[in-house]
Amino acid sequence: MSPLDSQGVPAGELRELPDRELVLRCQRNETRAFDELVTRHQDRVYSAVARFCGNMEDAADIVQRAFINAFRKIQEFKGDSAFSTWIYRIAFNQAISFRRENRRTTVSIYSKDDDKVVEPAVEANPTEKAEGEETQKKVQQALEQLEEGDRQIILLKDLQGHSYEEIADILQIPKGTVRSRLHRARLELKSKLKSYIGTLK
Amino acid sequence: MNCAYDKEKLTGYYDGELSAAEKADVERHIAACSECLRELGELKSAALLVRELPRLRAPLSIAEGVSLEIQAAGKVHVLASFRRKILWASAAAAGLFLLVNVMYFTAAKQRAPLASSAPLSPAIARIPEAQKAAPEFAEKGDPAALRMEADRSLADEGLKRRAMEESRKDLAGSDGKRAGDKPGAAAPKADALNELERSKLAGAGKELPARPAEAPAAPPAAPVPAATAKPAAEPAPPKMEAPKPEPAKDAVVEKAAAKKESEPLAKSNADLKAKVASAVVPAELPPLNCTISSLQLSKSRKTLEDSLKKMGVAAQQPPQPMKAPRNRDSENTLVLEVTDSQLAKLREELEKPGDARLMVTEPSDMFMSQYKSGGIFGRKEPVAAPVARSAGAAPKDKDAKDGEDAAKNQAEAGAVPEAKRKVTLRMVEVKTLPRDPEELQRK
Repeated sequence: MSPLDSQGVPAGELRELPDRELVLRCQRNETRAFDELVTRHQDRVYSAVARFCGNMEDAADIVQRAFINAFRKIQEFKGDSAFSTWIYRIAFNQAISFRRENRRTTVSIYSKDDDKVVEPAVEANPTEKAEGEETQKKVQQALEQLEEGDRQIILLKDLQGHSYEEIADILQIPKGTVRSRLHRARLELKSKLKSYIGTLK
Repeated sequence: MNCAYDKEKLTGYYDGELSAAEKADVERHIAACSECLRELGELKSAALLVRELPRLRAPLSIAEGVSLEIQAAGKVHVLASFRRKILWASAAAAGLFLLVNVMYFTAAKQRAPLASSAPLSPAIARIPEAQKAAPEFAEKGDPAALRMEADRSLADEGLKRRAMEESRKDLAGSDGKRAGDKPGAAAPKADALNELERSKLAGAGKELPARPAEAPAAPPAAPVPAATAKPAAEPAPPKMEAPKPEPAKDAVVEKAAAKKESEPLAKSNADLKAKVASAVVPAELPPLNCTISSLQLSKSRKTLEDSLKKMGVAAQQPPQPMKAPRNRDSENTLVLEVTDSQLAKLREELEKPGDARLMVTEPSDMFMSQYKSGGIFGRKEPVAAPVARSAGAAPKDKDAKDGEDAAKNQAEAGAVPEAKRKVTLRMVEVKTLPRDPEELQRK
């Protein structure tokens, strides 16, 4: 018999439920289901927001607020889109608002400990690791120099691997626009990373 | 950079978001266009640089903070729902309270128009007629029904008295036709003798036999059903059969007939009236329940006792069971045997200081309860015209004048001894004195 949580729900049961079912349970005031949604999506959302902001502390604050807002608006969630796209949209809107309200110097995510990094888990020798870190730093800097819209779309596609349809849903733009904006953003990023791209060749 | 090919397709091609036809088209083009092939490679490199960025693990503080916030919100939700329930319960209680009040005051208002719809009798002597007309209501203490019946009876009473006055005027003149038309005029002497016999029998405590020449009159205390009460518009003669003024009226009529027909028996009107008056023993009137509302009960009680002593009326307290608990209502209740004029005088004495009022009602009446308690909202003024009639309220309408004139004429015609009635007086201390219906209407 599986142990029950504080709300009488078997602990393992929630992990097996799809997002839609968890959302329905949240809408029935089963708060434990929302905890499961947070656990399930927080890393991906945090990762995208942290790359978007370039600041891990701000990202943590933004993501926490985004989940709390999502919980408060959970009754308004009709299920027309996936919970993941909905929480991304809330998180990016929160991040844009946050950055506009708090214009402060960003603390690079590379000044923090490595234990915050989830991937890649490929073992590398110290030289390669140093080169890799340098490249990542340059890429992050290039990302931060992009416009917010371009940065969002590149992170959603190339970092998070969302489809055009999902990106259109998150950013609330037509699917055709996704391709053109993504093409433009990549060209912009390519121009900022020209030296690295040349070495990659 | 000279190729005009739609390079956005290269992005779509790399991301695998093109249709099969578009994909084939791109593949054909890049096979022939080195520029587009190179750009595709650069786009791919830029995308790979981002893709190779390490994913970050969310700090634990996020989940903890969210969880705490949710729990707090849940508590707020529970508190809010509890508060909502409390509010609903309060609203329901307030609504019920208002409903009860509305029902209470609506009931009072429904009685008020009845109280003011018909003029009330000025003299307390008239009130018992109402109880006589509808004893079943009077016994039940239903003031509204009592009032309706009383008003109906009082209208009849006015007509009766008017008729009596007319007949008296006729008899006072020399015209004997009217008296001769009456059935009793055929044998006036015999009637006069019968009258004397009847008075002797009555003096001996026996019941008066009905005279054969006249229609049998109902016993004086017999209740007249409400359904048979005559409307005010009917002519006066049928009202002559009404029970109460019968002895005096008969005496006057027969005496006049005797004077006209037979000289030896034609004594003065006054002599015969005196004989008849001394001979006729009035029947006892039905009991009456009255309430003395007083601001200072002890003072009013003393005034009452003094007045009773002055009038020579003995008051008794109603008998109480031996083992009954102490009952203040019984202590404040007196049972009197008084005439109506004595009662009117008593009322005058009591109300003279201005801190008491004698009314024909019972303390248990809802009308009285609002004065005892100060009203449901503690208000000092009654919300509607009181249902009970004032014992001495004297509306100056036509009927009232008629009644006064009739009473005056009756007094002139002869001093008929007044009937006594059993009056139960209940004394109640009130916060404000009940008001007359007329006084309220004036306001």
